[in-house]
Amino acid sequence: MTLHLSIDREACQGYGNCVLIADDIFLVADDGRAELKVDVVDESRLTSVQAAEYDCPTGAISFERENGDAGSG
Amino acid sequence: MPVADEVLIAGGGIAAARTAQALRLFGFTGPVTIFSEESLLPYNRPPLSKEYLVERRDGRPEPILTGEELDELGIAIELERRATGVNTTARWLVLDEQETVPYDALVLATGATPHRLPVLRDCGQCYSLRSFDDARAISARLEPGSHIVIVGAGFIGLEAAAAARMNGCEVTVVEMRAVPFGDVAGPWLGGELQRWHERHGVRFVCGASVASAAPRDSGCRLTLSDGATVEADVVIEGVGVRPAVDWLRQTPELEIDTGVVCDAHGQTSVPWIYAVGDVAQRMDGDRRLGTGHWTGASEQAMCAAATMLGRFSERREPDKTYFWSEQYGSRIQCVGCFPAHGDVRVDSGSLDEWSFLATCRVDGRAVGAFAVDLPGPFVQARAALRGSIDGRGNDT
Repeated sequence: MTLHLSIDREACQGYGNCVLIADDIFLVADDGRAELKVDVVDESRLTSVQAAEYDCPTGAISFERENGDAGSG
Repeated sequence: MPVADEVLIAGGGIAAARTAQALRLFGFTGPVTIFSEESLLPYNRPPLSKEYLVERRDGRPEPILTGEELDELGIAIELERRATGVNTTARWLVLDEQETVPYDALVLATGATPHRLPVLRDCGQCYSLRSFDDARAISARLEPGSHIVIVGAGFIGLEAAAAARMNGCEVTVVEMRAVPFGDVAGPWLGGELQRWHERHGVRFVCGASVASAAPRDSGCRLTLSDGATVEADVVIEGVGVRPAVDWLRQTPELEIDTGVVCDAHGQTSVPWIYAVGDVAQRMDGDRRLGTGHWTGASEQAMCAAATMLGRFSERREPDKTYFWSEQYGSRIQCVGCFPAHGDVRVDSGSLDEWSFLATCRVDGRAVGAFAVDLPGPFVQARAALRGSIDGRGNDT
């Protein structure tokens, strides 16, 4: 299982909570808005990704779960 | 550790909603029911003192979780249902002083109640700001030319001041301390914030409190502790909040100080009862952990849900102090502390352009960061402070 992430950069206002939660996944770019360092992560990062989604004041972060071929359930 | 079969959540704000969501995130499949005394589904409160007042909005706030999303998650919510007591022996929650509902695990998430000054009780034109109804009532009174007196210059008071000025109101802020925001951002930044508001036309009376208030014509007249009088069409109180614990006072086994005492993970003094959000008083031994704002409430909820389900490796240390504010279209972000003896410097940007990052150091060590419209550098400063002021774990 993998998690496919996306950021709505129009909605993002650069609060940076996501970066504080997972700075290997999110960064604040020079324009002050968040960007993804990677857009697919392993499901083992679910807690961080979910926390980032919860903690985004503008609701700019979303993700979808996708079953991988080699998923062990 | 056995896992509860059914979880009840008392309270209907961000902490309640996030706890329910987090229980599902961590795989809990039993019934989850939220009892909220509000008539609306849980909504975010930060916008109430910001865009709601600036734009004088009347429409209902967007729910944190829509009815459809609640259904999908299998979360039940009962609105206009007030939690009024707990029987920890029988393990039931009392609703509306008459009905009892059994629980396996109970989450206390009843939030906080605004302090109300007794001296303003009879002035007739006084508002506090906590709920959507409060924001709507205040918005309706922000008529251009009205004289709005704001008592208390914390961030609610300053946001209300900015919104009132942006709507063409005359604004006076009465603050008992020497500078606005001083207990949060320290005296130096507090002074800069005051001058910024003054440039926008706000009048400050600092070092004074309200001695008496009396209705007068359509408004009221306040007499201050220094003898001055102030005429007001509307008075807004922004003098802080206290945890909503009155309904728990008859439960002596539940330790309550100013809030419901719990450990860093939300566990209270009673097994299977957890506290999250503004009602919680989180302690690390004898050390009081910071109270949360919006971010902290959400993270505490995840932490408590993980604790409840024995998913200890999933727990993250909630952010203790971060908050943001919006005034005159500028975003202020603050984390850490700014003690009066701290050394505050502007590290990036400029005060003149009102876009800057300032940090506070004590004995050479950074303890606080404060930024206006400089999100990138602020995030870096916040990350650098993380180890000392809001250390978190990670997934692994």
